[in-house]
Amino acid sequence: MANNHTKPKAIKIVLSIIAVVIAASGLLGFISLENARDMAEIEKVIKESVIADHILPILPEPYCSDPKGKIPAHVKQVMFDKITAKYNEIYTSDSAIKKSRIECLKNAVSGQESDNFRELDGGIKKFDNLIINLNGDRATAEADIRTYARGKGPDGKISTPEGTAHYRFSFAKEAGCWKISYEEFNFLPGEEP
Amino acid sequence: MIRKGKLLFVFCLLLAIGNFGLTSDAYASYSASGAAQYAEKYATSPNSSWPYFSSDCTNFTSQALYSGGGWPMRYGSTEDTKWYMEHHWYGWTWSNSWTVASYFYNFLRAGSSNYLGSWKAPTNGSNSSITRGDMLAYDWDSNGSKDHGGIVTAYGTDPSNTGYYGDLQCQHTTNRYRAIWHLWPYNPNRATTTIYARRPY
Repeated sequence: MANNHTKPKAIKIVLSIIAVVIAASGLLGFISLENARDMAEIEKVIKESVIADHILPILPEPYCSDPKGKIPAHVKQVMFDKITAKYNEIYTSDSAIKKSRIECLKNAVSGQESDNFRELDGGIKKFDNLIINLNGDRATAEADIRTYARGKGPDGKISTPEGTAHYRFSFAKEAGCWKISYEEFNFLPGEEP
Repeated sequence: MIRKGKLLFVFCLLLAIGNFGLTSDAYASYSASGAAQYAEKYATSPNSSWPYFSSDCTNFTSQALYSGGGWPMRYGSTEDTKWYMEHHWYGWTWSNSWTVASYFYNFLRAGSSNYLGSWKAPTNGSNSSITRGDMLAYDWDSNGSKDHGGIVTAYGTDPSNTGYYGDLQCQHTTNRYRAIWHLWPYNPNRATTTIYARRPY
């Protein structure tokens, strides 16, 4: 009699343990899936930001071909608006670095006319050693990023500088999206301009 | 009696001149041409009398200020009032301001230099605000902290076949002789770079 009672009880215990394990692994899976999603989004924002720094100053044709040509005011204004919109999308509303970045990029656009220079191309060549630390609605990230640029100087000579820098980012979630609140970088040894 | 008085006067006068000689060193004027000449001489072949670092830009500009420009070392009590590199029997000691770009800029800002301007993403060859002997500080990410330094040494053509003509600088870390001051042909992140200039006196 005692044995008959024990059997179903043991089965119940085993089933309960299995259920708990399944629930826990499901929860862990859900959490790691969420983390993976966050990390993927953060990586995407980092790349978008670095590429934006390089391609947003590039003028549309026909203005990007001739270093000595005039750039109409309305063309510059469209580019300024694009820069502001993109950085508002990438950086948090209270980002300490956003204002300075927007000013820099606007100068990079208007300087092309006054300095007889044209930005032709730019972006990321290599993206390595990404580390992301998530902490609720905040995160930090760092990566080694090799960037390049291509530009035409006053006498038509083309320069193609490139170099690897170590980037550090702080992120915060705004309206459910990861945005950069702070960013800094410096060139790796042997990579400085 | 009168002779003794005269001797005392001459002694006091000499003492005063001597004291002035000692203290005047702290207010020695800056030789911009001397600093520029030093920088050009040691731009691509570093002076072996000084330590050499893998990131040597600020150590190099400090040497130019001191050895070429005649600026005395300073020994204040705070980071932005001391500036030295000294050799002792046990080795070299130095202040952060001698070797680190951001500290050096803060030291210059704290005294004995004039602010000449700052330029975001510049590409113009000629900059009418700067001249030989001026100090340049580069902030690659425009976050306010200076990352690199150089010294204006000449006006002419960048010898690296970049096609740029204008104000030229010398620098270490990547050792360059007479590179165009804004470094655009060498800098893949020019659109995010801010350059600051100060003139020591």
